[in-house]
Formats: sequence, structure tokens, C-alpha cells
Amino acid sequence: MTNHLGEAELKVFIDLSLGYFATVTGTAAQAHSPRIEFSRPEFSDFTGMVTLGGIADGCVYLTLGRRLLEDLLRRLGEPDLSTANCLDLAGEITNTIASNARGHFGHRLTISVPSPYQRAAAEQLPLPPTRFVLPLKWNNHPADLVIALRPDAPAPTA
Amino acid sequence: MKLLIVDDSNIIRRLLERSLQSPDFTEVRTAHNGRQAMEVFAEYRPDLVTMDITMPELDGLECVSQMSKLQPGVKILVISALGDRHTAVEAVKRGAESFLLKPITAELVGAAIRELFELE
Repeated sequence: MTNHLGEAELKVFIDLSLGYFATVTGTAAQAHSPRIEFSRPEFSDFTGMVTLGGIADGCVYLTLGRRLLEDLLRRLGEPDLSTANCLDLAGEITNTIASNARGHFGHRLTISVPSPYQRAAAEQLPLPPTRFVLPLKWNNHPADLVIALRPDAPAPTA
Repeated sequence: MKLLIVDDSNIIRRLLERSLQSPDFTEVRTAHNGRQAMEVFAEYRPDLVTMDITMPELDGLECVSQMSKLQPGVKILVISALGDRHTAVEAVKRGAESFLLKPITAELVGAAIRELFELE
């Protein structure tokens, strides 16, 4: 599986993640060294997840802390910093990044409606055993963008 | 003018409502999925619709098709994160006037709306 998601594909997701924060907030995010994770995944306060289909089989999720989401909501001019809006935003960011990726991988990569989770629910999700983790930091708040493909799934290709 | 905002994200609907506050829009309604969008559209008959694509119940492309048939001349601005050319072309073929790629800001939305009406 490590051969299935190469440097070029990872760079697409990194660039799209950084582009999201730069466009929406005007403040750049930083990407840190990607890693492959085999252990039990760790989740932050909120996680937005989309499933991938078509030319890939798995999911993409973004796990972020409440403070990042509240900061981002304020930047969007949203006064309501509720849990419901944090969940919504977690799903919306994930959906945006994954859906933007179709610009590179083509329309045969299908993206589901996003599903948002708080930490306890995210920890119960059955996930593929191997994940590519792209650590990000925006405004000193950490987040992880994770791409998890099923072991025998093809990698998305343009 | 009457505006209908369609997006399954409450954050995006509220962002669009704030971004599109203008004396030009006498009334603004919203819908959070495609099925609700069609119900509201049939009764409300807006002049401008902003339409997400990936939504539960009924996707935005199908809504664009149906709205264009029900009310030829309605202006539909698709606002979606789907970054492939095929989707943008399909949206326009079905009747959308224009396509704006997410992520969006108030400025980008405002510019897209101004461009939409300057085309007339």
C-alpha cells in the first residue's frame, strides 16, 4: 500500500490544505513532514470525514481542535461558536479539500457528503489499518489531514 | 430580487447570507439539501440561486436541471468544491450561469455575483 499513494498525490492534498487556509483566512498554514501511521489513530476534538470511491476506496479526514475551529469561525465572521458549527466546519473543510482534489484526480474520484464527529464517536470508527498523516498548523493550532486507503484499493490517479 | 441559497453547510449558508446582504435582494431564503431546495424553489421562484452540488437527498446538479426547466431564465451560480472540469461543464450544460470553486470568501462571492449580472 505504501506504493499506492506517492509523493505527487500527497503533495496534491498538502497544497490543497494549505490553499484552503490561505484563501479563507489570508493567513498561511504550515505543512509538516507527512508520516505513515499504523497504530490506533488519535483524534482531536472534531473530525470531518469523507469517503472516497470510484478510482479510490477509503476516506479522507481532518481532525482539528476546538480552538482552531473557533478561531476559523471568527475569521469567517460567524458569531456562533457552538459545537454544532464546529462540527459543520470540520466537515466543510474536509469536503472542500477532498473535492478540490478532483481537479487533479478527475471526476471518477467520488467524494461523499461529509460526516462530522466529535472525538468519542471518531474513536469508534472502523478505519483502514494504514494511514498517511499530513500534519498541519494554522495560526499555531495543529491539525492532521489523514488519507486512509483500503489495503487493496487503487490509488487515485489523474 | 429574490435570492435562494442552497448548501448543506450551515456555516456556508450564513456566510453567503452575510456576503450577499444588499438592497438589491429584497428577500433571501435558504435550503439545506436538494429536496428542500426544490420545494422552496417551486413556491418562491427566486431570481438568483446559489447552489452547492454535494448534498444529501438530491444533488445540486439535478437541482440545476430541474430549476432551469421550471423557470427558464433563473440565474444559478453553482458554488462547489468539486474541482474537476467535468463537473463545471456539466453544471453549465444543465443551466447554471456560472461556477465558483470553494473555498469561498465574501469578496469572491460578491465578485461572482457582480459578474453574473454584468453579463446581461
